[in-house]
Amino acid sequence: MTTTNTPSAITGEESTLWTARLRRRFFGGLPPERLLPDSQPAYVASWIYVFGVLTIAALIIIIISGVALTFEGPLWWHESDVGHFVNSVHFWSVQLFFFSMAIHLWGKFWMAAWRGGRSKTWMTGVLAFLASIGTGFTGYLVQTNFDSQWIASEAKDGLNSVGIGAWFNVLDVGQALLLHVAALPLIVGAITIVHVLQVRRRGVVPPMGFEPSEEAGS
Amino acid sequence: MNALMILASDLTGPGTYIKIPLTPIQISVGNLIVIVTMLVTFVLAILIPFPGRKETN
Repeated sequence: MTTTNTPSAITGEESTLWTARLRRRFFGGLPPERLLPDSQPAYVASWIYVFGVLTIAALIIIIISGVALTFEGPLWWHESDVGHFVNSVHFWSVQLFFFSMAIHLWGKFWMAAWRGGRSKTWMTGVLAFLASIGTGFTGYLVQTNFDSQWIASEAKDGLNSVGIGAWFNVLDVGQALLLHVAALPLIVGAITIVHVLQVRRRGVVPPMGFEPSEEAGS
Repeated sequence: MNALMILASDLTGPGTYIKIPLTPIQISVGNLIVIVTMLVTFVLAILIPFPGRKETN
């Protein structure tokens, strides 16, 4: 580690340490005033822009209620009124999550929101959508009721037909539970953070025909 | 409408399905209501003015 009190210390823009390079790379494209802005362009004042934030709000409720469910296990909601309530909060926040995410997706699709160098924003949104479908699917598999048995027995044929049944065995409740509470939520959360950072970095896409001159034609 | 809401909100019983004639499309009433609601919400989100928005040229 380079110290700052030695005459030969290399700091700031000249340092080649990985920490300095990472700092320059992160804050170079995302200075604090862009990361946490206090104003937005006038065109953002539209209800269609609300649904992305609503999706994140629903995701926060999903994570909080999901963490609460992990303490008592997948059978809790069958035998406790409190468990049933927490499970219902979890379930309905997932419905709100997908409801608002689909409207957010439609809005961004018809805006061609990948314009102006925003392809990474669009692609991380696509990945978040796909990972969310997997997370929602494994959630249905761990309901521990006849519904989850039916879904698993039907889905196994589809997954086997595309050759992934050996790795993703939907009849294995333990695998589905761990995927649902650990691996997939981490992936969804990480992609969502990258997606939001991309939105902050590139800004909200302007309406067609109103692009700044440096974005026009990109 | 009331009957549709009952069909859509009963999550414990068997589902009610609609088959579109001459097509292979079959959909549950609950899913159909959710999709129509999403489409209506999408259109309203575009059309309804946002509070406090200043109209500019």
